[in-house]
Amino acid sequence: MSIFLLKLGEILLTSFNCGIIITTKRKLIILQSHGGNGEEEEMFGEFIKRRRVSQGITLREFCRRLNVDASNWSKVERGLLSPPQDEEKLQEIAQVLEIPLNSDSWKELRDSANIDAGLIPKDILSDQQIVNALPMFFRTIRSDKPTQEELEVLIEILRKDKDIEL
Amino acid sequence: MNYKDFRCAWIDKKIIWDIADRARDELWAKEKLPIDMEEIIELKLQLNVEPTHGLLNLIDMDAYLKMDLSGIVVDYDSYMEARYANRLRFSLAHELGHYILHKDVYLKLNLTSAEEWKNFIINVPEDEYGDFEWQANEFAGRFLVPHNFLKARLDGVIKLIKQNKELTTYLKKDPDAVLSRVSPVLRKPFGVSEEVIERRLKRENLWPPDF
Repeated sequence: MSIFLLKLGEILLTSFNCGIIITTKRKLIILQSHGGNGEEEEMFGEFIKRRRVSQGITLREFCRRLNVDASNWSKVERGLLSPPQDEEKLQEIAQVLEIPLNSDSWKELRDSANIDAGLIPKDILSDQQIVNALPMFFRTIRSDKPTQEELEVLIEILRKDKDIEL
Repeated sequence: MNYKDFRCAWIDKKIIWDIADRARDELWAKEKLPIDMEEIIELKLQLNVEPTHGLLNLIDMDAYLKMDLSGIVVDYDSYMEARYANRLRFSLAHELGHYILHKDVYLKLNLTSAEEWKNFIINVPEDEYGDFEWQANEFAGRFLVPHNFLKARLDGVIKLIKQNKELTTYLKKDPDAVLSRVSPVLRKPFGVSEEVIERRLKRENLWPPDF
Protein backbone atom coordinates (compact mmCIF):
# COMPACT_ATOMS: atom_id res chain seq x y z
CA MET A 1 0.00 0.00 0.00
CA SER A 2 1.33 3.47 -0.87
CA ILE A 3 0.52 6.65 1.04
CA PHE A 4 0.75 10.07 -0.65
CA LEU A 5 0.66 13.39 1.15
CA LEU A 6 -1.12 15.92 -1.02
CA LYS A 7 -1.36 19.68 -0.75
CA LEU A 8 -4.74 21.34 -1.06
CA GLY A 9 -5.89 21.35 -4.66
CA GLU A 10 -3.21 18.95 -5.78
CA ILE A 11 -4.26 16.26 -8.21
CA LEU A 12 -2.78 12.79 -8.27
CA LEU A 13 -3.45 10.46 -11.16
CA THR A 14 -2.93 6.97 -9.86
CA SER A 15 -2.58 3.70 -11.65
CA PHE A 16 -3.98 1.91 -8.63
CA ASN A 17 -7.53 0.75 -8.30
CA CYS A 18 -8.98 3.97 -7.00
CA GLY A 19 -8.66 6.18 -10.08
CA ILE A 20 -8.11 9.91 -9.65
CA ILE A 21 -7.63 11.52 -6.25
CA ILE A 22 -8.19 15.23 -5.76
CA THR A 23 -7.89 17.20 -2.56
CA THR A 24 -9.99 20.23 -1.84
CA LYS A 25 -10.20 22.48 1.21
CA ARG A 26 -12.97 20.32 2.56
CA LYS A 27 -12.37 16.76 1.62
CA LEU A 28 -10.51 14.12 -0.24
CA ILE A 29 -12.38 13.24 -3.38
CA ILE A 30 -11.95 10.02 -5.30
CA LEU A 31 -13.24 10.28 -8.85
CA GLN A 32 -13.69 7.80 -11.65
CA SER A 33 -13.23 4.87 -9.36
CA HIS A 34 -12.33 1.74 -11.30
CA GLY A 35 -13.36 -0.99 -8.96
CA GLY A 36 -11.89 0.48 -5.80
CA ASN A 37 -13.89 1.02 -2.65
CA GLY A 38 -13.61 4.81 -2.81
CA GLU A 39 -16.73 6.95 -2.65
CA GLU A 40 -17.68 8.39 -6.06
CA GLU A 41 -18.05 12.13 -5.87
CA GLU A 42 -21.02 13.83 -7.51
CA MET A 43 -20.08 15.50 -10.77
CA PHE A 44 -21.00 19.13 -11.46
CA GLY A 45 -23.78 18.14 -13.87
CA GLU A 46 -25.29 15.66 -11.43
CA PHE A 47 -25.14 18.21 -8.63
CA ILE A 48 -26.94 20.84 -10.73
CA LYS A 49 -29.56 18.42 -12.01
CA ARG A 50 -30.30 17.13 -8.52
CA ARG A 51 -30.74 20.67 -7.18
CA ARG A 52 -32.78 21.76 -10.18
CA VAL A 53 -35.13 18.77 -10.02
CA SER A 54 -35.55 19.05 -6.25
CA GLN A 55 -36.70 22.63 -6.76
CA GLY A 56 -39.15 21.62 -9.46
CA ILE A 57 -37.40 23.52 -12.27
CA THR A 58 -37.54 21.89 -15.69
CA LEU A 59 -34.52 22.00 -18.00
CA ARG A 60 -36.31 24.41 -20.33
CA GLU A 61 -37.21 26.82 -17.54
CA PHE A 62 -33.72 26.63 -16.08
CA CYS A 63 -32.10 27.39 -19.45
CA ARG A 64 -34.49 30.26 -20.08
CA ARG A 65 -33.62 31.85 -16.75
CA LEU A 66 -29.90 31.42 -17.41
CA ASN A 67 -30.09 32.27 -21.09
CA VAL A 68 -28.10 29.20 -22.12
CA ASP A 69 -28.68 26.73 -24.96
CA ALA A 70 -30.80 23.86 -23.58
CA SER A 71 -29.16 21.33 -25.88
CA ASN A 72 -25.69 22.15 -24.57
CA TRP A 73 -26.84 22.48 -20.98
CA SER A 74 -28.40 19.03 -21.13
CA LYS A 75 -24.95 17.75 -22.11
CA VAL A 76 -23.32 19.58 -19.20
CA GLU A 77 -25.74 17.86 -16.82
CA ARG A 78 -24.94 14.48 -18.38
CA GLY A 79 -21.19 15.07 -18.10
CA LEU A 80 -20.63 15.32 -21.85
CA LEU A 81 -19.59 18.99 -21.88
CA SER A 82 -17.39 20.96 -19.52
CA PRO A 83 -19.12 23.14 -16.93
CA PRO A 84 -18.82 26.91 -17.30
CA GLN A 85 -15.74 28.38 -15.66
CA ASP A 86 -16.88 31.99 -15.65
CA GLU A 87 -17.46 33.11 -12.04
CA GLU A 88 -20.33 35.37 -13.06
CA LYS A 89 -22.17 32.51 -14.79
CA LEU A 90 -21.61 30.25 -11.81
CA GLN A 91 -23.10 32.92 -9.56
CA GLU A 92 -26.12 33.18 -11.86
CA ILE A 93 -26.57 29.41 -11.61
CA ALA A 94 -26.35 29.62 -7.83
CA GLN A 95 -28.94 32.38 -7.82
CA VAL A 96 -31.42 30.35 -9.92
CA LEU A 97 -30.90 27.36 -7.62
CA GLU A 98 -31.21 29.60 -4.56
CA ILE A 99 -27.76 28.69 -3.33
CA PRO A 100 -26.39 31.47 -1.11
CA LEU A 101 -22.90 32.62 -2.08
CA ASN A 102 -20.28 31.53 0.46
CA SER A 103 -22.46 28.63 1.61
CA ASP A 104 -21.05 25.08 1.50
CA SER A 105 -23.25 24.31 -1.50
CA TRP A 106 -21.82 27.31 -3.37
CA LYS A 107 -18.29 26.12 -2.66
CA GLU A 108 -19.23 22.64 -3.83
CA LEU A 109 -20.72 24.05 -7.03
CA ARG A 110 -17.66 26.17 -7.80
CA ASP A 111 -15.16 23.46 -6.87
CA SER A 112 -16.88 20.79 -8.93
CA ALA A 113 -17.06 23.17 -11.93
CA ASN A 114 -13.30 23.62 -11.70
CA ILE A 115 -12.55 19.96 -11.14
CA ASP A 116 -14.85 18.62 -13.84
CA ALA A 117 -13.47 20.99 -16.46
CA GLY A 118 -10.41 18.77 -16.70
CA LEU A 119 -12.27 15.48 -16.54
CA ILE A 120 -14.81 15.64 -19.32
CA PRO A 121 -13.73 13.01 -21.83
CA LYS A 122 -12.95 14.35 -25.28
CA ASP A 123 -12.75 11.00 -26.99
CA ILE A 124 -15.20 9.79 -29.58
CA LEU A 125 -18.23 7.89 -28.32
CA SER A 126 -17.88 4.15 -28.40
CA ASP A 127 -20.17 2.09 -30.61
CA GLN A 128 -22.15 0.98 -27.57
CA GLN A 129 -22.57 4.57 -26.33
CA ILE A 130 -23.86 5.55 -29.77
CA VAL A 131 -26.30 2.64 -29.76
CA ASN A 132 -27.52 3.61 -26.27
CA ALA A 133 -28.32 7.07 -27.58
CA LEU A 134 -30.24 5.81 -30.61
CA PRO A 135 -33.98 5.10 -30.74
CA MET A 136 -35.85 1.87 -31.24
CA PHE A 137 -38.93 3.74 -32.43
CA PHE A 138 -39.36 7.35 -33.54
CA ARG A 139 -42.17 9.83 -33.33
CA THR A 140 -42.32 11.35 -36.80
CA ILE A 141 -44.82 13.46 -38.67
CA ARG A 142 -45.47 10.78 -41.26
CA SER A 143 -45.61 7.90 -38.72
CA ASP A 144 -43.50 5.43 -40.66
CA LYS A 145 -39.96 4.15 -40.59
CA PRO A 146 -37.15 6.52 -41.56
CA THR A 147 -35.08 5.87 -44.65
CA GLN A 148 -31.56 4.45 -44.47
CA GLU A 149 -30.23 7.92 -45.32
CA GLU A 150 -32.11 9.44 -42.37
CA LEU A 151 -30.74 6.76 -40.05
CA GLU A 152 -27.22 7.67 -41.13
CA VAL A 153 -27.91 11.38 -40.57
CA LEU A 154 -29.08 10.61 -37.03
CA ILE A 155 -25.91 8.65 -36.25
CA GLU A 156 -23.90 11.57 -37.61
CA ILE A 157 -25.83 14.08 -35.45
CA LEU A 158 -25.03 12.02 -32.35
CA ARG A 159 -21.35 11.71 -33.24
CA LYS A 160 -21.04 15.45 -33.92
CA ASP A 161 -22.97 16.30 -30.78
CA LYS A 162 -20.06 15.03 -28.77
CA ASP A 163 -17.74 17.67 -30.21
CA ILE A 164 -19.86 20.74 -29.40
CA GLU A 165 -18.38 23.14 -26.86
CA LEU A 166 -20.50 25.20 -24.48
CA MET B 1 -31.62 -12.49 -34.59
CA ASN B 2 -33.53 -12.23 -37.82
CA TYR B 3 -35.27 -8.88 -37.41
CA LYS B 4 -37.78 -9.74 -40.13
CA ASP B 5 -39.35 -12.07 -37.55
CA PHE B 6 -39.59 -9.29 -34.97
CA ARG B 7 -43.20 -9.06 -33.75
CA CYS B 8 -45.20 -6.55 -31.75
CA ALA B 9 -47.36 -8.21 -29.10
CA TRP B 10 -51.03 -7.34 -29.51
CA ILE B 11 -52.40 -5.20 -26.66
CA ASP B 12 -56.15 -4.61 -26.62
CA LYS B 13 -57.14 -0.95 -26.63
CA LYS B 14 -58.99 -1.32 -23.33
CA ILE B 15 -55.86 -2.66 -21.69
CA ILE B 16 -53.90 0.31 -23.06
CA TRP B 17 -56.56 2.68 -21.70
CA ASP B 18 -56.40 1.03 -18.31
CA ILE B 19 -52.60 1.27 -18.25
CA ALA B 20 -52.77 4.94 -19.29
CA ASP B 21 -55.41 5.73 -16.64
CA ARG B 22 -53.39 4.06 -13.92
CA ALA B 23 -50.17 5.75 -15.04
CA ARG B 24 -51.93 9.13 -14.93
CA ASP B 25 -53.29 8.45 -11.45
CA GLU B 26 -49.77 7.63 -10.35
CA LEU B 27 -47.90 10.44 -12.09
CA TRP B 28 -50.42 13.28 -12.21
CA ALA B 29 -52.51 13.17 -9.08
CA LYS B 30 -54.05 16.53 -9.86
CA GLU B 31 -57.35 17.61 -11.31
CA LYS B 32 -55.42 20.20 -13.28
CA LEU B 33 -55.39 20.28 -17.08
CA PRO B 34 -53.51 20.35 -19.36
CA ILE B 35 -51.17 17.69 -18.08
CA ASP B 36 -47.61 18.97 -17.80
CA MET B 37 -45.55 16.24 -19.45
CA GLU B 38 -42.22 17.91 -18.72
CA GLU B 39 -43.02 17.81 -15.03
CA ILE B 40 -43.84 14.10 -15.29
CA ILE B 41 -40.86 13.11 -17.43
CA GLU B 42 -38.19 15.24 -15.79
CA LEU B 43 -39.30 15.83 -12.25
CA LYS B 44 -41.34 12.71 -11.43
CA LEU B 45 -39.64 10.01 -13.49
CA GLN B 46 -36.30 11.85 -13.54
CA LEU B 47 -35.63 10.90 -17.14
CA ASN B 48 -33.37 13.23 -19.08
CA VAL B 49 -34.88 15.49 -21.69
CA GLU B 50 -32.24 15.98 -24.37
CA PRO B 51 -33.02 18.77 -26.85
CA THR B 52 -31.17 18.20 -30.11
CA HIS B 53 -30.80 20.63 -32.99
CA GLY B 54 -32.02 19.61 -36.43
CA LEU B 55 -33.96 16.52 -35.45
CA LEU B 56 -37.17 17.66 -37.15
CA ASN B 57 -35.62 19.67 -39.98
CA LEU B 58 -33.09 17.09 -41.05
CA ILE B 59 -34.78 13.77 -40.36
CA ASP B 60 -38.46 14.50 -39.69
CA MET B 61 -38.31 13.32 -36.07
CA ASP B 62 -40.12 15.02 -33.21
CA ALA B 63 -38.76 12.91 -30.40
CA TYR B 64 -37.55 9.49 -29.39
CA LEU B 65 -36.88 7.39 -26.34
CA LYS B 66 -33.23 6.42 -26.10
CA MET B 67 -32.36 2.76 -26.39
CA ASP B 68 -30.86 2.74 -22.87
CA LEU B 69 -34.12 4.26 -21.49
CA SER B 70 -32.18 7.06 -19.79
CA GLY B 71 -34.00 9.89 -21.51
CA ILE B 72 -36.05 11.33 -24.33
CA VAL B 73 -34.40 13.17 -27.20
CA VAL B 74 -36.57 16.02 -28.53
CA ASP B 75 -36.24 18.38 -31.44
CA TYR B 76 -34.72 21.62 -30.10
CA ASP B 77 -37.12 24.04 -31.80
CA SER B 78 -40.19 22.02 -30.84
CA TYR B 79 -38.89 22.02 -27.29
CA MET B 80 -38.12 25.71 -26.98
CA GLU B 81 -40.89 27.39 -28.95
CA ALA B 82 -44.21 27.92 -27.17
CA ARG B 83 -46.22 27.49 -30.38
CA TYR B 84 -45.22 23.82 -30.44
CA ALA B 85 -46.23 23.21 -26.81
CA ASN B 86 -49.15 20.91 -27.65
CA ARG B 87 -47.12 18.91 -30.12
CA LEU B 88 -44.31 18.54 -27.56
CA ARG B 89 -46.83 17.44 -24.93
CA PHE B 90 -48.10 14.69 -27.22
CA SER B 91 -44.57 13.66 -28.22
CA LEU B 92 -43.54 13.24 -24.58
CA ALA B 93 -46.73 11.32 -23.78
CA HIS B 94 -46.10 9.08 -26.82
CA GLU B 95 -42.57 8.34 -25.61
CA LEU B 96 -43.90 7.69 -22.11
CA GLY B 97 -46.17 5.16 -23.80
CA HIS B 98 -43.15 3.38 -25.30
CA TYR B 99 -41.41 3.57 -21.92
CA ILE B 100 -44.31 1.91 -20.12
CA LEU B 101 -45.67 -0.46 -22.77
CA HIS B 102 -42.49 -1.52 -24.52
CA LYS B 103 -39.79 -1.39 -21.85
CA ASP B 104 -39.24 -5.15 -22.01
CA VAL B 105 -38.76 -5.01 -25.78
CA TYR B 106 -36.09 -2.31 -25.38
CA LEU B 107 -34.28 -4.24 -22.70
CA LYS B 108 -34.29 -7.52 -24.59
CA LEU B 109 -32.87 -6.13 -27.80
CA ASN B 110 -29.15 -6.29 -27.33
CA LEU B 111 -27.68 -4.20 -30.15
CA THR B 112 -23.97 -3.48 -29.97
CA SER B 113 -23.18 -1.26 -32.95
CA ALA B 114 -24.69 1.45 -35.09
CA GLU B 115 -24.58 -0.91 -38.08
CA GLU B 116 -26.56 -3.52 -36.19
CA TRP B 117 -29.07 -0.83 -35.17
CA LYS B 118 -29.53 0.26 -38.80
CA ASN B 119 -29.99 -3.36 -39.78
CA PHE B 120 -32.67 -3.71 -37.10
CA ILE B 121 -34.65 -0.61 -38.11
CA ILE B 122 -34.52 -1.42 -41.80
CA ASN B 123 -35.58 -5.03 -41.34
CA VAL B 124 -38.34 -4.67 -38.76
CA PRO B 125 -41.53 -5.30 -40.74
CA GLU B 126 -43.38 -2.04 -41.45
CA ASP B 127 -46.64 -3.43 -40.02
CA GLU B 128 -45.00 -4.44 -36.75
CA TYR B 129 -43.32 -1.05 -36.49
CA GLY B 130 -46.71 0.57 -37.11
CA ASP B 131 -48.28 -1.45 -34.29
CA PHE B 132 -45.72 -0.23 -31.76
CA GLU B 133 -46.42 3.35 -32.85
CA TRP B 134 -50.17 2.82 -32.78
CA GLN B 135 -49.99 1.53 -29.20
CA ALA B 136 -47.87 4.48 -28.06
CA ASN B 137 -50.31 6.90 -29.75
CA GLU B 138 -53.31 5.25 -28.13
CA PHE B 139 -51.60 5.49 -24.76
CA ALA B 140 -50.70 9.16 -25.28
CA GLY B 141 -54.22 10.17 -26.34
CA ARG B 142 -55.86 8.45 -23.41
CA PHE B 143 -53.24 9.72 -20.96
CA LEU B 144 -53.65 13.38 -22.00
CA VAL B 145 -57.42 13.28 -22.43
CA PRO B 146 -58.96 11.65 -19.35
CA HIS B 147 -62.26 10.02 -20.26
CA ASN B 148 -64.37 11.61 -17.50
CA PHE B 149 -63.17 15.12 -18.31
CA LEU B 150 -63.81 14.58 -22.01
CA LYS B 151 -67.29 13.19 -21.35
CA ALA B 152 -68.14 16.17 -19.12
CA ARG B 153 -66.94 18.67 -21.73
CA LEU B 154 -68.83 16.85 -24.45
CA ASP B 155 -72.05 16.83 -22.42
CA GLY B 156 -71.83 20.62 -22.24
CA VAL B 157 -71.38 20.86 -26.00
CA ILE B 158 -74.28 18.46 -26.66
CA LYS B 159 -76.56 20.67 -24.56
CA LEU B 160 -75.67 23.60 -26.81
CA ILE B 161 -76.22 21.54 -29.95
CA LYS B 162 -79.66 20.50 -28.72
CA GLN B 163 -80.62 24.15 -28.31
CA ASN B 164 -79.66 24.83 -31.92
CA LYS B 165 -82.10 23.27 -34.39
CA GLU B 166 -79.83 23.83 -37.36
CA LEU B 167 -76.89 22.05 -35.71
CA THR B 168 -79.11 19.16 -34.64
CA THR B 169 -80.11 18.66 -38.26
CA TYR B 170 -76.50 18.89 -39.43
CA LEU B 171 -75.47 16.38 -36.77
CA LYS B 172 -77.87 13.81 -38.16
CA LYS B 173 -76.77 14.45 -41.74
CA ASP B 174 -73.02 14.76 -41.26
CA PRO B 175 -71.65 14.11 -37.75
CA ASP B 176 -68.03 14.55 -38.87
CA ALA B 177 -68.74 18.07 -40.11
CA VAL B 178 -70.25 19.02 -36.75
CA LEU B 179 -67.34 17.39 -34.96
CA SER B 180 -64.91 19.61 -36.86
CA ARG B 181 -66.85 22.59 -35.47
CA VAL B 182 -66.82 21.43 -31.85
CA SER B 183 -63.36 19.89 -31.60
CA PRO B 184 -61.53 23.27 -31.51
CA VAL B 185 -63.58 24.11 -28.39
CA LEU B 186 -63.19 20.69 -26.82
CA ARG B 187 -59.43 20.39 -27.28
CA LYS B 188 -58.40 23.58 -25.47
CA PRO B 189 -58.34 22.48 -21.81
CA PHE B 190 -56.44 19.30 -22.69
CA GLY B 191 -53.68 21.05 -24.63
CA VAL B 192 -53.88 18.68 -27.57
CA SER B 193 -54.68 19.02 -31.27
CA GLU B 194 -58.15 18.78 -32.79
CA GLU B 195 -57.02 15.54 -34.42
CA VAL B 196 -56.32 13.99 -31.01
CA ILE B 197 -59.72 15.05 -29.62
CA GLU B 198 -61.60 13.76 -32.66
CA ARG B 199 -59.75 10.47 -32.42
CA ARG B 200 -60.53 10.12 -28.71
CA LEU B 201 -64.24 10.81 -29.22
CA LYS B 202 -64.51 8.20 -31.92
CA ARG B 203 -62.27 5.59 -30.29
CA GLU B 204 -64.23 5.86 -27.05
CA ASN B 205 -67.61 5.69 -28.80
CA LEU B 206 -68.59 9.18 -27.69
CA TRP B 207 -69.20 10.48 -31.20
CA PRO B 208 -71.67 10.81 -32.83
CA PRO B 209 -73.74 11.32 -29.66
CA ASP B 210 -77.09 9.59 -29.18
CA PHE B 211 -80.01 11.97 -29.37
